[in-house]
Amino acid sequence: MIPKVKVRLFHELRQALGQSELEVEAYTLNDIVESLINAQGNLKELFFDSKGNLRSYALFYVNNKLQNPPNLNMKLSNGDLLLLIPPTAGG
Amino acid sequence: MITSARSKLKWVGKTVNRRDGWGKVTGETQFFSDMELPNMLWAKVTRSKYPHALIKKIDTSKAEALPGVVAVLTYKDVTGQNGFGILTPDQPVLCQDKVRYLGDAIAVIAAETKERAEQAAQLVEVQYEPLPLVTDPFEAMRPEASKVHPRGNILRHTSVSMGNVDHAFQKATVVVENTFRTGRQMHMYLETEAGLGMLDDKGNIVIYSGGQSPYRDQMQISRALSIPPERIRIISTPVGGAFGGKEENTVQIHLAMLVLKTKRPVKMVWSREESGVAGMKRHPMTIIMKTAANKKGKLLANKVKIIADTGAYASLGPTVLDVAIENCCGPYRVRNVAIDAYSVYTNNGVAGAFRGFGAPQVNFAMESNIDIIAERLSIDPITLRMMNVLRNGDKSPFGLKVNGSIGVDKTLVRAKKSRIWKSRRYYKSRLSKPWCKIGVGVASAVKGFGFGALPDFAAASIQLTPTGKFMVGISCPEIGQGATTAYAQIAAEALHCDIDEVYITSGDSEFAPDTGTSSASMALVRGGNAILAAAPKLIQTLLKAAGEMLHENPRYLVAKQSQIKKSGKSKNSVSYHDIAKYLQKSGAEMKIVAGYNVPRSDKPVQGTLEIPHRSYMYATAVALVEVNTLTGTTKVLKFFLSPDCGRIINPQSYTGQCEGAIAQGLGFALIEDAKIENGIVRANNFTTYVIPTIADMPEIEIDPVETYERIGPFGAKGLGEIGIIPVGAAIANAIYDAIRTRVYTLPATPEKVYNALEVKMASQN
Repeated sequence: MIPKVKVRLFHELRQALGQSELEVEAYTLNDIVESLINAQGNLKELFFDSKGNLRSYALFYVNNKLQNPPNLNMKLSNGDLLLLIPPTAGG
Repeated sequence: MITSARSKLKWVGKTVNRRDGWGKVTGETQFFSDMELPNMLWAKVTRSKYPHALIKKIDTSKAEALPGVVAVLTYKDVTGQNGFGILTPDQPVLCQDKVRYLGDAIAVIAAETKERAEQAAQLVEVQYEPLPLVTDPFEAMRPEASKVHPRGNILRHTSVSMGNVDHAFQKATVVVENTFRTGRQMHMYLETEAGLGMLDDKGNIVIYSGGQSPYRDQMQISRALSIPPERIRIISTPVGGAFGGKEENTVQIHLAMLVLKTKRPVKMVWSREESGVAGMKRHPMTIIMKTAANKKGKLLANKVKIIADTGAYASLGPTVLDVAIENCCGPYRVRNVAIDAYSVYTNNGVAGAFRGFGAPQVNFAMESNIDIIAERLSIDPITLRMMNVLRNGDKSPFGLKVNGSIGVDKTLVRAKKSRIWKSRRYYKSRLSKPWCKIGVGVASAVKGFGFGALPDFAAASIQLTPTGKFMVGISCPEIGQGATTAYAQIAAEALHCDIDEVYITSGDSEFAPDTGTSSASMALVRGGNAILAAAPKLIQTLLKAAGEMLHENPRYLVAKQSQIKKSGKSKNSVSYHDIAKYLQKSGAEMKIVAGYNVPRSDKPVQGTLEIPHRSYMYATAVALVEVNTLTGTTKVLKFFLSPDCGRIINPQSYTGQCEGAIAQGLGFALIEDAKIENGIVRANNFTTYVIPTIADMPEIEIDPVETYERIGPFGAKGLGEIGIIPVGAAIANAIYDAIRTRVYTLPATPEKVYNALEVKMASQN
C-alpha cells in the first residue's frame, strides 16, 4: 500500500495550488515534491536551482520535525504530516 | 515640501489624504491593547530569571491554585514544533530544558484579571542551574566559550571575496583602517507587542495583533501548534508601529494556545519593560574596515570584518548579515573586496529586523572611511563620492551589473546644491557660544528593496462591488507607512476610477490573499504590483460585460472615469455601477486574484543568501550640527536628505517616511543604545532609554531625485529604510568637521564626544 501523507502548504505554495492542505500518496519526500511540480510546473523553480539542486531555503518538516538538510529519499509512513514552507524573509 | 514631476497620471504622484489619517487623529482607530471583549481573560508570560541556565524543574501548582487563574501552560502544551523563528525556528515557544536570555518564556497564564495573571506568573516555580554567560561576541567565538546552542555560538560565518585586496592596498596612495562599533537600538513603538485572541463561531482561532505579515504569523502558529492554517485568521493592527520589530512572532502563538485551551477571548500586552527585555533589537556590530584609494581618489579596495551580536536566537540574523555584507562598500565602484562576516549567538537579548536591516551600521563605517580618505587627499568629500558612485551600467563590488534605476549621482548633486552645503562656511562662522563648534557632514547610502535572490511573491484581490466600486484585498499590513493610501492611488489609476471608489482591506488573512510582508521596504512594490497584475484582468471582465450591454466589440471599448465607453468621440457608454448590476444578475465572477513574482537572480553571490537585489534605493544626506565642547553634547540643527526611491506615489507620505527615518536615525546616531550588562537589560523604559523628541528634531529638507524603476509600480521603488541609513554617518562626519576629532562608536553620546576631545587635547599637549 502506498503511504498516504498529509501535506500542509504555506505562502506561494498555497497560492499556487489553491489549497492549504492536501493528501498525497507518496513513498518519499521526492514523490511529494514531484507531484506538486506536476500539478504546477512553475513550482520547480521554487524548489530547485538551474542545476537541479534542492534550494537550501525550502523548509521540510516531517511530523513537526525540521529535516535539515532535507533528504528527498526519506521514506514516509502512512499518516505522516509534512509541512512545506518556502522562505518568506530577507531584507 | 516636495512635489512630483508627473502630470499625466490622475492619482499617482499626487498628495491625497491618508486613508488611515482620520481614524488615527480622532482616536477612532483603536490600539489592540485598548480593545476589550466580553468574558475576556488576561495573559501573562513567566519569563526566565537567568540569562543562561538549565531548567531542572517547572512547578506550576501554586499558580494554578490561585483564584481567578484559568490556565497555566508550559512546553507540554505545545502541540507542534516547540520553536519559532522566521528563518530558523530555534526559539522555544515555551522553554523546556534551557533558557538563553531573560526574555525566554517558560509558562503562559490566562486569568480573570491582569493583576491575577501577573501574580500567577510570579508563582510559577522554576528550578535553574545557572550556566556561564556569553555576553561578548568575540569571546563567544572562542572554542572554550559556553555554548548558547548545541551547535556552537556562530550562527553564521561567511566570506565574500572579489579581486585582490592585498595587491590593491600595495598600489594605493591612501589606506585607512578603523574599527567602528554601533549600539543596540530598540524599536520603541508607540504600542508594545500586544494582541487579542478569540475563537470564532466555527471554533477557528482569530488573532488581532501588531504584526508585519498575517500569513507568516499564521504559518508560525500552524507550525507550533500543528493546526491547519485555514483554521487561523490573523488581523494586523494599523496603529502602534513596527519598524521590523514585529516581523517575528511575539504574542501570537501564546495567544493561540490560550484561546484553544480556555475557549475564551484572551488579551496579552507586553509592558514596556517586558518589551525591552523580550523584544527585538538592532544588531550591535563591530566593523573593522580597511579602505584604499589612489591619489586621484578612486577607491581601490575594501577589506571588511563584521561581527554582529545576534543575541540568543537566530530570528532574521542570517539575512541581516547579508544586508550588512551587501552594503558595506556603500554605493560605490570598488573592484577589490574581501568581506569576512559573523553573526554570533550571545545571551544579550535577541537581535533581528530593524529598519535598515544591517545597513546603517556598515554605512557608518564606510562613510567615515570615505571622509577620512577625502581629507587625506585634500579632495572635497562630495567630489570624491561623485568620482566613485555607481552609475548605469556599472558593476557592483560583487562583480555583477547593477540592475534598476540608479540616481545616487544625482542625489550627490542635490546635496552639493543644498543650502547646508553651499552655506557651510557661513554656518560655521556663526557660533552661538565660543565653546560650541559647528560642523557639516555628508554621507551617501544604498540598500536593496525586497528579498534579493530569495523568493519574493505577492498576491492581491480586487472585487467589483454591487455598486460598481472596488474592494482591494492586500494582506501586508498598514503599519503607519501610508501603504493603504498608496494602494488606493495605484488601484484608482489602474481601474480608471475615482479614488473614493476604491476600498482597501489590509492586514487580514481572511479577506486578502498572501501579499507577503510589510518589510524590506517592499510593501509598496509587492502590493502595488499585485494590484497592477489583478486590475487589467478585472478591466477585461468589465469590457466584456460592457460589450454585451452596448452590443459593441470589447476591442473598441475603453475604461475611463468609472465607465466603459466606445473609443473616439462616441457617447455610447455604460457605468461601472450598471456593469456591476449586470454581472451580478448573470451570476458572473466579480473577484480577481492575481500574483506577482519579484524578479530576482537565480543564483546568489557565492557565500551569500540573497545578494544581489534586483534593484536598489539610494540617498545622500547632509547634517549640520553644533557640538558643545564643554559637555560633548551634539545638537543637529539642520538635516538635508535627497533620496532616490524611484517615482513618488504620494509626496506627503514620502516626506513623512523620510522625516520618520531621520528621527529614528538621529536616535541611532546620538542617543539610543540599550545597555545589557551580564545579560540584564538596564535600559528598558523611556526613563532609562531615551529616544529623540520633537525638541531634538532639526529643520529638515527633503529633495527627492525621481528616477523610473522598471520593476516598481508606476516606476516607484521602496522607501521605508533608505532614509535612516546615511543619518548616523552624516552626523558623525559633521561632528568631526566641528571638532576635528572623530567618534568611531555610535551613538555619539556626550561622554564619547567629550572623551574624543580629551584624547585630542592630550595628543596635542
